[in-house]
Amino acid sequence: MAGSFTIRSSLYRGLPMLLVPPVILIAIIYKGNFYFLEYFHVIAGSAWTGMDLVMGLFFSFIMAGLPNDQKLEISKRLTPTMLFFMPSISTTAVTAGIYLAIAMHISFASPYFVAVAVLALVLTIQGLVIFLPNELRVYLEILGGSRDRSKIVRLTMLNIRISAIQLVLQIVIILFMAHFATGVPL
Amino acid sequence: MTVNEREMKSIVRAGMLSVAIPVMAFALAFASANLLWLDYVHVLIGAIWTGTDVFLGLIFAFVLRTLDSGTRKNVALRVLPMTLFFIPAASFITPTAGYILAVNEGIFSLSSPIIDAILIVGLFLFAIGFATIIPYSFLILREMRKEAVNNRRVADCLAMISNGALAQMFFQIAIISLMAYIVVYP
Repeated sequence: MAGSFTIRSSLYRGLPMLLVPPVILIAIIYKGNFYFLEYFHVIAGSAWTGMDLVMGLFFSFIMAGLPNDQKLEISKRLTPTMLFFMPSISTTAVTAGIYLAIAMHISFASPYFVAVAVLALVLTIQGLVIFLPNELRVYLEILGGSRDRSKIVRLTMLNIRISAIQLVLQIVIILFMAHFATGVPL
Repeated sequence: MTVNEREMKSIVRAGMLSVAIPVMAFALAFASANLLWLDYVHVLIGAIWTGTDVFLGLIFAFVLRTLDSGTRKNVALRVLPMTLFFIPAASFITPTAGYILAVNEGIFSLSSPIIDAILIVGLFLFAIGFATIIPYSFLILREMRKEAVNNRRVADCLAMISNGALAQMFFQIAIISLMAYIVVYP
């Protein structure tokens, strides 16, 4: 089994997840089609928000009840995919949202836009400064033969605990999205 | 109390919360008669539902394939709050909130091809959940209550749940395209 944890095998699974969202977004922006931009933003946003919520609510419950050796086996298999999928889906969802706001002539000075921008910035920074480096450390440890097993489990569980903060921010950001969709003030 | 009984109690408790929280959120939004809150519940529960499908059908499917049967059995048990409790609750709450929203916004008409398409795709989403994810979750629960658990059967049920979630994910992508159409071309 250890032999299958190679850069090649994880790139085979991960590269499509890393590349497909930005390629689709670039094609939509190039075509300038508002409908597809909206569609992409909702799909990418749902996948990102949904995954964050699932990781924070349900996956943490799954992992909390498992013994350490089983936690290790799961994180060895999950990390290479999450490492490629989450940065790609989060940055493209935010980028599509900015293009959408421009197309809808939403003022960048509007308090709602500022609030969403701050939340999205915090989420993105958390993702790129905390989750990504942690996942990268886990990934490198896996590629190195998973010698420090406690490190893999510790970093994975740390990411899951921090994802609870992501979860709260995602729940708040959807409230603002509901405002943009309905036009009803908060 | 045996470990298995304790574990089962914690699964049922988590499952009850997975139903109670969305139901209460929907009841409060419905009672408030506020479109923003209804939209919020519709989008939030819908996003978590999409997230569970992406997680179970796309991301976690890779993880499950190569896990040993003992780990798969433990994972199968702890997946139940998501598959046996949350997904059925989301399958009722998301379309109900969507229907109330559509009626209130004056866009619900059976003569509208987009509304008809949403109803058909929604029916498939609902049917897939109740034909695959939910019955196979029941089978896992039943198997877990036996003295001698058949790990192979549990693994097969988990694979069926994963396949069902993957199928649901494609219908989620289809229904979101129709939702985006309604938003862009009201």
